[in-house]
Amino acid sequence: MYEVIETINLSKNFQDFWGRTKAKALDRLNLKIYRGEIFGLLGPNGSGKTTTVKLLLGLLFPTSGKIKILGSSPRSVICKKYLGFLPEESYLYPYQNAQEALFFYGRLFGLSRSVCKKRVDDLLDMVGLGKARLRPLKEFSKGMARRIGIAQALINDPEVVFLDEPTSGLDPVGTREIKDLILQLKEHGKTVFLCSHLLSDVEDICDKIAILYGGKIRCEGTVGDLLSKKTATQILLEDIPAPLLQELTLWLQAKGIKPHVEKPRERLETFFLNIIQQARMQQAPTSGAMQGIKKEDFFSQNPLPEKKEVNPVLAQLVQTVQEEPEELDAIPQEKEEEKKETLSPAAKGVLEHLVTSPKEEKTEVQPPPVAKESKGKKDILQKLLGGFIKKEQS
Amino acid sequence: MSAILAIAFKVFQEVKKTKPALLLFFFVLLLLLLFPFTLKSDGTLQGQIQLFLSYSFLILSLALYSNSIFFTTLSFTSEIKGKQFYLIDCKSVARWQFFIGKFLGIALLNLFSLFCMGFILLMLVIYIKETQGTPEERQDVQEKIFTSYQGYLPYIPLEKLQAMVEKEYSKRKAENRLPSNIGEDEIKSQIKMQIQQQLQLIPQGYQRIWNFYDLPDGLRNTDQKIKLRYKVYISEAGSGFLCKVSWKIGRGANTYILEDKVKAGEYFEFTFPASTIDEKNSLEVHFLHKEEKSGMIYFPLEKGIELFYPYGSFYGNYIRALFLIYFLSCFLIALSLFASSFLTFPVAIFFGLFVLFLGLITPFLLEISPLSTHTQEMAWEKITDILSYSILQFSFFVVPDFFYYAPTESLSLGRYIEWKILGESILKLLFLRSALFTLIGCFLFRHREVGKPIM
Ligand SMILES: Nc1ncnc2c1ncn2[C@@H]1O[C@H](COP(=O)(O)OP(=O)(O)OP(=O)(O)O)[C@@H](O)[C@H]1O
Ligand SMILES: [Mg+2]
Repeated sequence: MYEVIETINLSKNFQDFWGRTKAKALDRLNLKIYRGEIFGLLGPNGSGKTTTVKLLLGLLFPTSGKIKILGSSPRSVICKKYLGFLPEESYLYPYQNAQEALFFYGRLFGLSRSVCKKRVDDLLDMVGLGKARLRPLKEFSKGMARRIGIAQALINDPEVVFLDEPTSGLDPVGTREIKDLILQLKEHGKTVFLCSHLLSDVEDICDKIAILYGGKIRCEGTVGDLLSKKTATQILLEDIPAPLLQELTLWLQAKGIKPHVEKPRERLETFFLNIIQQARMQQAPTSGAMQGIKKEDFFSQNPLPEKKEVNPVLAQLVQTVQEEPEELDAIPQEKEEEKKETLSPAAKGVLEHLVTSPKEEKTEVQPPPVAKESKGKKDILQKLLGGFIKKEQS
Repeated sequence: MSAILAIAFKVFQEVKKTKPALLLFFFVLLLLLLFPFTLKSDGTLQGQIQLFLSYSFLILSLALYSNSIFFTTLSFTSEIKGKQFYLIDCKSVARWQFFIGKFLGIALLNLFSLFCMGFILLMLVIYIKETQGTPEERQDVQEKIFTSYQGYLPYIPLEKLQAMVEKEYSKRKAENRLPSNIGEDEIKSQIKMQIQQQLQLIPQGYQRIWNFYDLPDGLRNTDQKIKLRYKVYISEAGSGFLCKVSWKIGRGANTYILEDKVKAGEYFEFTFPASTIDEKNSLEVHFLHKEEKSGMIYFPLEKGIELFYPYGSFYGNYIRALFLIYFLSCFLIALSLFASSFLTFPVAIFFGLFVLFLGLITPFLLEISPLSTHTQEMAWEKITDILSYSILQFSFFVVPDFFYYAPTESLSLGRYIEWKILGESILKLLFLRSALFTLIGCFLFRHREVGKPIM
């Protein structure tokens, strides 16, 4: 796999007119983000997340250090063809309407008029603003503007997407949709660079995270590695009769394990989504954003088409396109086999009927429109589950 | 290319939906439409139309110039301040494409609005011409304003003149009257000037003959009118003195004779038939000094006497005039974009307006600057002189002489605006100045950290 984004000792100081350093925003940052990854950059306010993204996009210039995006400088116009960017606030032109805005951004990429029109229509449906397409952007609520921002970031079917706090200002339905969208992007082999301080968002979707504080990376790794509690195992069961529960507890106690039993709570996100779904079923009127429509065929499955145009690294990336899905699939399969082999027959019996991961449970309870699992997400979940079980066993 | 066009097109969206711009547009329109009717001219139809043309062209061009500066600067700097440019810069658009796109958009916008306004003005002029005044006045206007005339200067026998200069020079040299601190060429050009001025002096009872050669073929066979424009000064009377003049145009049978009384120090013109031109396409003009009460009559060297013959229509002239204004506005767009590429809104606006102001007072500046007096006499030893000289030279390069390109006078006097000056404005304003400013602007903008503003 090749690095899509690489920074080497990247530092950024902000200076005043006389060259005196006002703020040290980034300090020798080293990142490597591979193709098809969802990378989450976490950190408190002012830790340097936005500065990192701006540097990666060539909006700011590094004080020292190097950046490579798709193998070239972030200022290369050719490489920008494959990038999408959602800034932390939606910087849109108040005098355009939704349709004009997206069309404009599409034309900036040199898309032909017809292609542009089609993409704009699809994207507006996708972000749930099909009905607001002719309204001027200055009338848009924050979340609606955010959705346009997301749509514009995807207009060129980008290879790498930079999302700076994509869910800020979005309602939970929108948040869920964005998260699904990000997973859908990953499914199509795109790389996503996500900045956020909303930990739950990051936890749900990111493969790899880094935590930034004061411009320095304090911790980096896969979500599975970083978050798995090495000293505990959680088994989630459907509601079982009390005697059976007692029996199970006793059985575990006999084995010397002291279980902690409680009724799981529904997550607020799930609960909220259920309520909104009901309201939508009743067709309650709203002038706000509608539910986004998933466009399965929107993203290209085979990105980076023009080999001759890109640099060597891009060219190599093109070759790996076919290999990669296999690679992704390969991991969970392997782990599944391991899992089957390493389980003891007793545990196997219980698990075969009942075990679901806590993460999977959450999506199982979801209302129909968002409950539809994307294949990519299942992959991650399987991957996460696989790692989880394997570690507990060893 | 589609990116450049998209950016250009967005300028139109920006204007269409920004109400202040529309308001300004209508305000100027109102001024144009209403104000001229309240102006008092000399009472003739010709005076009224001339006043209308000069007034409305002045308003129109000033509005266009200041709007070019204001709108360009606002449109460019607000993209960066409002951070909308982030979304453009992360697309596959080079910064120079953005720059050119903006230029193109605003230039097209100017073209559109200028020609809309120009059309309305033209309709008004035609309306005034067709409905006001007496039939004779209308005929007069048709001849004097609605026909454009090509100017023609009398022939100067340069060889003869040069010989006279040489003779005078040797004479002074022999008499040891040459100043020691001036070079030979300089002295000779001074002598030449003196001789030319002497030739413009006509004592009482004498006559002066001017020859105009190589007039256009076939002109003499048309029934068109030829115009002579002149100005006299009188040595023993102040300006305002009414002086008897006597003209004889042509030779032989087709002579045209005019006796008149004119005020000294003012321009006068009269027309006469083209048949006065002889077979060799040349014309002889005699001036006879018959005024007993005055001393010498003097025709100023610069445009003291000029011949005009009909050359084109008013409409062609009108369009060229609009284009002259347009190219100046394009220069201002390039200048404002350049300023916006590295300055913030207020500073860039100030810069643009300052250049416009300098451009408008250029003739005055030229007069008082050391550039107009002779360069060779400058004390090159003094570093301050060198500095101020180069600064002036530079600023005259940056700031074009707006009056040089201003078409208003030619238009209202019915002078043919030559393609040459249009070409010159394209070359000097667009290809030289605008291109240079655009290049530097693109370079500066390319190296600008646009991600700086955070609030
Ligand atoms: N243009 C600038 N001039 C001066 N300092 C700046 C500038 N931009 C950012 N900084 C500083 O750099 C640091 C990092 O800012 P940055 O915007 O990257 O934070 P962030 O992690 O995105 O925070 P948030 O979560 O609030 O968006 C802050 O201390 C900020 O004050
Ligand atoms: Mg931020």
